Amino acid sequence: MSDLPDLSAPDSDGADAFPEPVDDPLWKLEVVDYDRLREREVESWFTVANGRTGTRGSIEEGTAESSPATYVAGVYGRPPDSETEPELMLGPYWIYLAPRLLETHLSLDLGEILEHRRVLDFRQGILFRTWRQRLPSGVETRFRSARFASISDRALAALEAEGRSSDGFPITLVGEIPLPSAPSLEHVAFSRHDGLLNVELVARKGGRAWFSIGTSEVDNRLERMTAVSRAGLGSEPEISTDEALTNARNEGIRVLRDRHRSAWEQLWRSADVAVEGDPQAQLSLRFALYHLISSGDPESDLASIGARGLTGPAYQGHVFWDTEVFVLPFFLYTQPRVARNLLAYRYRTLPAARTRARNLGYRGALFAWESADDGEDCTPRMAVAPDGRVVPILTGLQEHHISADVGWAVWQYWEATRDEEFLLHCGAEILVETARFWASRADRGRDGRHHITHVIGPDEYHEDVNDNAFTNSLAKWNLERGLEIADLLNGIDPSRWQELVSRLGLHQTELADWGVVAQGLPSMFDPESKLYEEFAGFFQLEDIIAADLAPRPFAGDLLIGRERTRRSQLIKQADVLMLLHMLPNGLSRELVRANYRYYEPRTSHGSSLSPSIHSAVAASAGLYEEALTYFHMGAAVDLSDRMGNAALGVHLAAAGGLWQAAVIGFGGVRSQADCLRIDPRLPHSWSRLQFPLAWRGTNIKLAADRSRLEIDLDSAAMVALGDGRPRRLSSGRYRAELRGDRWSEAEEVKAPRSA
Amino acid sequence: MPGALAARVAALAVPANWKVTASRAVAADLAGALHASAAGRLVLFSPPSAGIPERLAQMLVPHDGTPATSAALQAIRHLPPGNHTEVVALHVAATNAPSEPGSFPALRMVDHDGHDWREWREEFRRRFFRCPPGVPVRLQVTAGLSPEVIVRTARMIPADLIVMGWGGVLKAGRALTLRAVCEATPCPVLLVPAPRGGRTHLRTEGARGHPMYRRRASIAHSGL
Repeated sequence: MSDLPDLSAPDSDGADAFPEPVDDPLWKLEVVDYDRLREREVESWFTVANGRTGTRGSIEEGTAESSPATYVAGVYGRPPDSETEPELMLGPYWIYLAPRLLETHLSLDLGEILEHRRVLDFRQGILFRTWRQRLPSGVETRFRSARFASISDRALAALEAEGRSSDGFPITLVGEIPLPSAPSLEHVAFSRHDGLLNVELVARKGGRAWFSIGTSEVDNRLERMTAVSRAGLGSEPEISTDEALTNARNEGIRVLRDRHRSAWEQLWRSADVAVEGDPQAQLSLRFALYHLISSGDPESDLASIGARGLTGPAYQGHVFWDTEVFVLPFFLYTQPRVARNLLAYRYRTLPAARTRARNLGYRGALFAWESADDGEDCTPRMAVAPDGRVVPILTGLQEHHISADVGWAVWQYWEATRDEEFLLHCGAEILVETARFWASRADRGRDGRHHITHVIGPDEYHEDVNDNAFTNSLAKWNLERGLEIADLLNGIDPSRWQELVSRLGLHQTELADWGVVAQGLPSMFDPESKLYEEFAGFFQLEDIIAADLAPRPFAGDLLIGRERTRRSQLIKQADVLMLLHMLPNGLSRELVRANYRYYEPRTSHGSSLSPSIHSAVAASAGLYEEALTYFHMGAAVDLSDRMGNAALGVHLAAAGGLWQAAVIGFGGVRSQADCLRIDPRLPHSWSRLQFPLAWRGTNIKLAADRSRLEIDLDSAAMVALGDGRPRRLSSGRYRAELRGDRWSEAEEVKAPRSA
Repeated sequence: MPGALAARVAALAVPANWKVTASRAVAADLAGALHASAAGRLVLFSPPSAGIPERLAQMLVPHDGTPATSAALQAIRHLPPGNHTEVVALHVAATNAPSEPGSFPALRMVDHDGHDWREWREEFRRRFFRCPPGVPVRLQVTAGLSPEVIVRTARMIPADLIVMGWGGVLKAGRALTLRAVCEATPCPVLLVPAPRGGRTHLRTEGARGHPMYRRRASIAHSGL
């Protein structure tokens, strides 16, 4: 073999050089070799997406273990045998290649694998693969590929690949593109035109999508580009795909790739959270942020973000509260336009939410616990429990807090952006209609108070409970914001408010009733113990300490049975603590700590939504090392497959929660009516934490170590440090010192602002 | 080895190319059975207290989510189709996550009850076993002390045969569940050792093997 070329040596540089991943290990996730058992998990991790399409990280030639998929965001079809569970549309498997050396099809099981390496480069948003194989004949082959879903030209995605062999014979790569086949697809057709493959997909009782795919293969090197266009329910196609693809091919794949890389650089500048001293935390954060950024689309409001984004088949692409409460806060402060588009989905589905409320005998808008493109509730009504029994699923019927969660997200958006145009035309209506729902949802009891009964809070181990503290408090908050928005809108644009009042048939008496109901809802708070009771009667249940049962996290209802769990204080996830996390203003550290100390030991963390919120709440309670433990538990949800189902997609709520743990927890960032409050505190192993924020039109960079804070603003903003008073800081760099437990006044640094 | 049962076991063993130990002495002697199985043999352990079923109507396959125990599930692949055997794949969730690479234990976190267990089952089946057509399989998940749960479930079904995969390591502190089940089993136990050494076998069929992508369209391509 000594006279054969060395295929392990890198190619020379040059304009046509094959793209390479970055060297920095903290900007990439690398998987070496091939594990048949974990392949689908790897495929989820390695998804390349741009908010419009998501292509799982399946290897190009496929294997029996693969679950290849390209998902089309916002387009759903309805299988004929399951009217209530629409699923996200699959596009063609556009990355498919069939590498051949003469008549031999190359595959991982043909001969010996010399090297198999896949690298997801977060910084560039590109998935790389290198594969060297020794064939039974002794010939060595090398295959490389790089693929991306363009973040700069969101209708486009691209694949580059090349193959070489040690005996000098060419390796051909091109293969027939597999087309999707699913019950939710009504029609799949393809045609060839001017060297392009055009595919039309029509979802059953849903939207449509078009793909154009063009491939060039010369001298062992292949370039493929694909363009996608979507049409949601009742909407027109976004673009002409063959025109978009022709333009892209005229520019060339290198131009597209360069533009894509620049766009990622820009997005990272507005989103990266840099942690020094804890490489594992850093890598986990970048993995989470990569998937969050990949899921959002600032240019289109056709789609919301499903709980697994565009990374896998789980939950069929359905949208839950995960989006508004866990994912949206990241976008609020990094790409507000994406946050607005997510809320636009809720505005578009208001009619379905109104119908849902009306059908259940209420007024206003009750958003679906699970929804697809039309906003109809598509929560399964039954499921097979672990023990094989069929059990009813009550979340769709009782987890009504989602309406307040959506209202909360609208208000967070308003607080962070002061986007009057959105508030006037969409946000106010959502807040009014959700407030209206809560006023009708609460019943006046014999005790003269108002009660919200038969609900499920975030802790889903306890169904059909009354006066859940989380639900009551969010409902009260929603009613108060409904009243506030009435005053606000009347002040900003009285004619718009009058139009809304008239269109919604809103009467002054109804508004007065909101105030009465809000005041009448029990908070479930005991001032003496400073504890919230999770729901009426919770403290009378069997007291179970989760850590005494098993190492956490664990599924409590599996371990001790559904019935005993229901009769105990074992809880699934942050519930009271979720309330403290979502509505933190005005809470003392003493109160937060008392509730954390009570509820944390009783929590099994049987949900991926739990650890990161515990991290953020622990940090706000001043328990920084516990916060770090939970941060790492949250980080492990997908990267250590703690859920056990990363194979079916990445958990975006866990990713969003991790950002919240870092920025809201350790960074101490809170948006308040009059200012942005900042109070960063780091755990011992973190020597520095740095992140950017967009807040009310100002781009802010924060960098904190254990005793010093640097703030860089590109325009004036009202800022408060710790529990200090708000102060207007003009554009410039500022520094503050941590003295004891308090931050000093921010002092301007005269040095030029950082780039 | 009892006649009818031995024939059934032979049906499992031949396609798998396993060496079958069929000694009456070993069949009732646990230590001997474990040694024979540790040597890579398929061993049917049938203590005197266990009944001898006439046929294999119900087969219990315990599993802890590790690749080692998946050897038992692989054995199921070789059941003759249409033989009216129902397989109950019993996953006993451990309180500590298994450390063996590639393990797929029961969910520790369940975000959405309506979906997560269904999806976990799908992934579990894809990862560890494929059943021949016509053989009904129930995948059941439970918690508790493994040997007790397995024996209790075997009695409850009632199972004609327990098929147990194991790592084939007899050192102190290992194979505890297997030993405990064999000591209390109400029916014969088929011991299936995990395959030794070597890399995981890869079967590469290409994306055309995936049901979501059956149709193909010729890809147009041209020179640069």
